[in-house]
Amino acid sequence: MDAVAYINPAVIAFINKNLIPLRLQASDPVLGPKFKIKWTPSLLILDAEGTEQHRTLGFYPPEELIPSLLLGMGKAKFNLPDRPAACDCFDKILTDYPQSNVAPEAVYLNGVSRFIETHEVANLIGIYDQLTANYPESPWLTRADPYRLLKQ
Amino acid sequence: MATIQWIETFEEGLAQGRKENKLVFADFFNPG
Repeated sequence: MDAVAYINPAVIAFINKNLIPLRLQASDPVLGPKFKIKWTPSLLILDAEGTEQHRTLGFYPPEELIPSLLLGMGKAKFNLPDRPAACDCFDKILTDYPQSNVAPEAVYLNGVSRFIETHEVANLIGIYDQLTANYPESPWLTRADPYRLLKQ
Repeated sequence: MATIQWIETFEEGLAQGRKENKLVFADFFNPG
């Protein structure tokens, strides 16, 4: 991460602007067991109480790290719950990083968040339609398959 | 050249998160 992702100007700017970057040794005798750290790097999004909201493992290139962080931020906002703020994060993934690996999950979570806010079934159908059109090979399309039935 | 402004203590990171109303990005790494 140090040799590639953390020296990327866009990554530096994104992290410094949007998050509090915390660097901890995986071998920390208290925090390692507390967060069940078994792999490095383990990248966690925590709320300000220290509660884990999202985790990824392993190396991320710059073009995948930012959308992955946005996904984690969106999940944390969803859990507050601040679903409009969550949707802002998911929307940014789909607008700025539509080819990222996390984009299909962002489609799914965005639609579900909007459905919870509005109770409009069109948001669930939209998940299925967007995934079918843009990410037909994604496993998230399988998860969205029941929403296809809502069209009937 | 800009760099990531890492904080290296857990409590300080959480305190800064509360102060700035931001989420915390925690990288558990192996210094090698």
